[in-house]
Amino acid sequence: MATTITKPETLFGKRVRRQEDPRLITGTALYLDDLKMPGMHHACVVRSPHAAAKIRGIDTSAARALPGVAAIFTGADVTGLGAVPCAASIPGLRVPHHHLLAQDRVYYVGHPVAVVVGTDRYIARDAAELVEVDYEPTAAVADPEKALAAGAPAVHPEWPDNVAFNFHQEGGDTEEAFRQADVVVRQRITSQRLIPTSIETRGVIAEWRAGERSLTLHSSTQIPHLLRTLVAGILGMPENLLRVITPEVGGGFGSKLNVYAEEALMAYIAMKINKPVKWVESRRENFQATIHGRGHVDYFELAALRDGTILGLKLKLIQDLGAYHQLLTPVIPTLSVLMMPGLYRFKNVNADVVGVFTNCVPTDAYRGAGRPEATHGIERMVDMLAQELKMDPAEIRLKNFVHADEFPYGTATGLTYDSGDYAKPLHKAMAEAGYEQLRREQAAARAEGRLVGIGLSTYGEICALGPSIALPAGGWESATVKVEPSGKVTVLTGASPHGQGEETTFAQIVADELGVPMDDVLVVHGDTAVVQYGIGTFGSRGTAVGGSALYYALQDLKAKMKKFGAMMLGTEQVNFSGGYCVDEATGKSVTFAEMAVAAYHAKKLPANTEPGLVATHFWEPPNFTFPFGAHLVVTEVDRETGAIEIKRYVCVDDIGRIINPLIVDGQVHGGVAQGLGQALWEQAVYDESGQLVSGELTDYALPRASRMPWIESSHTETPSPVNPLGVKGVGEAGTIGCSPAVVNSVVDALSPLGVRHIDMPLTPEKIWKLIEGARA
Amino acid sequence: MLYTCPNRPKCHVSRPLNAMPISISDPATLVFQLNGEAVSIPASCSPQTTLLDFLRARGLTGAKEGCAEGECGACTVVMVRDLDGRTVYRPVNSCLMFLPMAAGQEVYTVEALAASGSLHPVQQSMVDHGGSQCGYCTPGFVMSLFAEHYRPGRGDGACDPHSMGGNLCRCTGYRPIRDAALALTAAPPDAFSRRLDAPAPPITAIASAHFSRPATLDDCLAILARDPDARIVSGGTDLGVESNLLGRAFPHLVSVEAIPDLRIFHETAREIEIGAALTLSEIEAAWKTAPAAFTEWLDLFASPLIRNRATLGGNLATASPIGDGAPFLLALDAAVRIAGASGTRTVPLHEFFLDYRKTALARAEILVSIVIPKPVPPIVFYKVAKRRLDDISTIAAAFSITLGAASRVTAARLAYGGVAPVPLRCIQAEDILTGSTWNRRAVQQACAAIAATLRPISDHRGSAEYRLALAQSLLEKFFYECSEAAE
Ligand SMILES: Cc1cc2nc3c(=O)[nH]c(=O)nc-3n(C[C@H](O)[C@H](O)[C@H](O)COP(=O)(O)OP(=O)(O)OC[C@H]3O[C@@H](n4cnc5c(N)ncnc54)[C@H](O)[C@@H]3O)c2cc1C
Ligand code: FES
Ligand code: FES
Repeated sequence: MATTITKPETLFGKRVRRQEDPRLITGTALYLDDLKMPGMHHACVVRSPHAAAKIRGIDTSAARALPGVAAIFTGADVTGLGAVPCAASIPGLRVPHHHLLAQDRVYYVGHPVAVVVGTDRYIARDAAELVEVDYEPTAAVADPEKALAAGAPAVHPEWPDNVAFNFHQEGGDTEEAFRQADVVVRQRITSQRLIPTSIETRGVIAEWRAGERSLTLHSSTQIPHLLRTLVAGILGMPENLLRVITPEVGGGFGSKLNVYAEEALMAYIAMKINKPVKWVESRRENFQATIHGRGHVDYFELAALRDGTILGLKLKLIQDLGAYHQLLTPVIPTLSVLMMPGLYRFKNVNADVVGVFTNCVPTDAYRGAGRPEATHGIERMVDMLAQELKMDPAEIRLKNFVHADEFPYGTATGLTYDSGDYAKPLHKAMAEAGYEQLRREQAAARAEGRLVGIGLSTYGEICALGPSIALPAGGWESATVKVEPSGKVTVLTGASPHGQGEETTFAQIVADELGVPMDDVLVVHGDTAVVQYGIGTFGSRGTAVGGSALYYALQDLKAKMKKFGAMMLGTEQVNFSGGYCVDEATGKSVTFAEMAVAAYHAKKLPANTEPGLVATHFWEPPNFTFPFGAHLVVTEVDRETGAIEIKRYVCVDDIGRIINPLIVDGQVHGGVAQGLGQALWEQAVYDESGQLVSGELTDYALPRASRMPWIESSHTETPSPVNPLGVKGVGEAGTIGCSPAVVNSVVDALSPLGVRHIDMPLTPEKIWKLIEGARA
Repeated sequence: MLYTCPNRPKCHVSRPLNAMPISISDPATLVFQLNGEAVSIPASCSPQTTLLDFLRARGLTGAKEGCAEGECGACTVVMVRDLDGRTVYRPVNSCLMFLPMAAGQEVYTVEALAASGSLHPVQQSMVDHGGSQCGYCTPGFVMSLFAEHYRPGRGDGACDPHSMGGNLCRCTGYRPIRDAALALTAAPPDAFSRRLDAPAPPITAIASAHFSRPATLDDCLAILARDPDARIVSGGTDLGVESNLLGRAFPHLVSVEAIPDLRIFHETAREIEIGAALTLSEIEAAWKTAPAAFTEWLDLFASPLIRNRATLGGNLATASPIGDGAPFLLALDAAVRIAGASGTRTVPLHEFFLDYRKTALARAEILVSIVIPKPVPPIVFYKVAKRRLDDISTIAAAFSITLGAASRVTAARLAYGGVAPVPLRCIQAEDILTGSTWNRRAVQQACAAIAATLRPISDHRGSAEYRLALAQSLLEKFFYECSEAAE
């Protein structure tokens, strides 16, 4: 028995290299398309080329005649199966029956009409082209405001007004606030439709074992357990006979937080043909048929006193839902409403949401899901107010922030902000950027006729989703920790990371709590037959909720190990730390591995203690967490072409405590890149007839390395009291903070020309037109 | 290893495709080196099978499909090529390479890098800097960086992050990847370094019914004359996209890569002649006296990955109205040499583009080279796109103004892409400028002529109004930049 023990360094807060990387960096990680099953068939989905049409008939004879075609399924085959599920429970919500395949009509370009199954994917694709669908095109509407206009084509004939729901939320007394106001600023602000574009598209393999009557579904998803429950429901099969496995997942950003028709279809087809069947989405399909994000038209009114005190906000929010509800489609704009007050103290909010059907692919959660729209709105409005009152945008924010001593803070929309010190990141960002100096330089540049802008955004977001009351399927997360007889540790997490690095973060937590080397820890996720039920990874919840569940499971496990240690040392006074149990009196110790062996060999057991070392914890968070931060952007606009150059990008994010700076930096940079994408380049464009014009990567301008500015990123750390780790969540912060800061900066640059607002994306053409307009 | 080749082109076609095997008389010509091991391309394979599909069917999971259209770089692999007399690693988009084009060549995938069990320095640097999140893009980045790491003459400093300009990542925001590149130093003196001491594999001839790579111009002309279905492929960056995404079937692909006449770079006192099948990267290496504007132009053209395959011949022959090659070469007053059954002719480039995607090339004719007269005049190139680099132009413009005594314009060439169905020169505006004094007034008159003659279209990349205004404001911008430079 060892007597001198050196306590290992804690890993919490350390820039530890990622455990995931060796397999990713060598190309040996297995993503969905890398999996092959004996006898595997391949499916290709026939999709509607029309935004709206009646299906008069489908002729599959030519396709069936192609050698190698095994089966073809059309709408008629799946009429009796369940619908693609929507988990929203908004009162009065109109829910169109979302069949797995189109029945007598198609509602958007990319709508699945038939599935062709062949012995290889080339045959399946060729045969898909041979399926003759007789369409009778009907009028379509792709713009949510046009869809609301009288006489617009009805997306679903049964609801001619195209309204899926109205939702109202109110806090305080907005009417009174507006009566008291000295100034009211009003603006229509859009958050354009975006295409999430994970570099790996979606994909599914379904394997049916006829003998066992069991089905294994491999899917590139963020929510394996929910997928299992819901697909079992669609197929009417017992949930325990369905197993969902997520292979390596090549990015999701919300687009794989869903249950898609193809997932249920492949499961069904595998049973029907009694062969494994694989479907991998092409990039163009991904653009047409995987959910899009955003799609807001917002009408804001902000009331304030002349000294800059904000009194209240009114909002009419028009949400482009697309043709159907996917899992959370209608929920997203309600999240926007929740975050409408931003970081500010005003207590009066009145919001009306109308969810509108359009002949487009459904919108749903995309990185930020509702919060970027809210932040963009309020942060733009605050800037417009500052412009109106000739106040400095930093000053007006500082004046209206919730004070550091007011937490927990109850908002007008019924939330309780957990902790914060909102002025801190703003001051830090301003200091780092040299705000005063920047303003002086701006004045000098303007005197030369140059268009230089400085933009701020101070954002707040709602993370770590969330208490179960707020999430349809529950908001907790689960973790199991197993110490194996050899002393190695296995973690089973209900979270389903796909790039967030939680195999590393979680191993850090385990290493710290148990005192074992990180390399002895294996984090397993994404297999419903191995991992207890979980909710999944989205809404910046993986570490804050999943990590907390793990933390508590570790406490249970430690308590049990301590009992073994105490028994082995023959004393009650033991300390468990650094991988040892130590007799406080004598300094004698037993090692982690020795305790593990004792627990499994079970020759002798502590009182009231079972053999084995396994602990499971389901953790329900008492509240959300509310990260916040400040982004500051300096831009210059080229007068001749309207091109924008980002000269400085400074961001200070407060995401609570930081477990691994390497991973956090990556999330911030990646998040900012997506925010920049929205601010400057990206837009899903449907034309009048509902064709997706930006239907391929050439036309959908993703951020490229050459266009990324140098990001000066730092943090303040205000721990969250909500969870034992003090973390808040970082997956979406960069995206949420970015776009308003960029737009505020460009508007500031153009403000000498009288520009007050510009909708995203800030394409050179838009900017150029504004400059030209001012010239004329 | 048993391997079944996907024996059909990846297609969306409205009729059943007959499997069109390469059906070759001499299968020995269809061997290539893959990660140091000889592999054969099955003769039953369709020539439209991509190198990417072949690799993945072999169980190599490193290269991945992210788009099949050359945009994302997830499919990046490295080839050993000759570059201006030096052996180099060239990263390419394997999704746009027709498999038989790899015959006789030497290809490395990410699987070769850590074959010894420990990570390659490039991989280690990516790990150290957090360069991977979901990992889907990662092997592609690694391969681009690998090629950069071993670039001869790079020295022992940092790697250039721009070398990864053809790779998209949606997770990292690129910063850690850039840091990984900047942290690298000299390439290790390992087997990969030593490989570059030996010559690159030659590009060998292949003859078959459905894929040919003739070794001479005459052979090539004979094939084209004989087979009406024959279609020239050069770098394949346009044709590959047509094959993968538009479902075009090419019954007989004829690669011009092995024809010496198309791979020349000659500079004489009178002209510069650039072989139509030289890749843009090869031209960059060969053209030592290129004007600065050429390098700027090149930087704006697609991505480094595409430039390693894309050729000038392909760019002109495809005659895209928004192609970047034409405006640049039009402003240089270039001509093209065309070979056909009846001999060779030279056509001024401004007479080459006849109509939308229609050129002066007759059936069975080959574009052999591009000729730029000397002295090469000063020239500027502008490209306006959503993202300036690596993007399709909304409009492209190239201007060349030669001034004589007293700032009198002796020659003016104003060339545009994206303003008409064909790339063109605005002769009316040129005429106004020629002979005038190079001043604000002349430029304004030229702009008026531009406004009166160009008729761009509107699409989602830009409205007609914006394009027309840009065509003028770019000329103004050029004028101001000239005056600033003169001050
Ligand atoms: C991701 C991506 C980005 C791109 N970005 C740009 C860009 O920024 N700017 C731009 O201009 N283009 C761009 N392109 C288009 C393309 O890369 C270029 O047009 C390229 O120069 C084509 O050359 P290639 O050798 O690959 O042509 P190929 O695909 O081999 O051939 C193109 C066409 O030309 C014909 N052809 C080729 N060589 C000859 C010859 N010698 N004689 C007669 N006919 C011939 C072929 O039959 C074919 O019809 C991009 C393409 C991709 C995939
Ligand atoms: S797969 Fe995207 S470039 Fe090749
Ligand atoms: S790491 Fe996910 S796309 Fe690059």
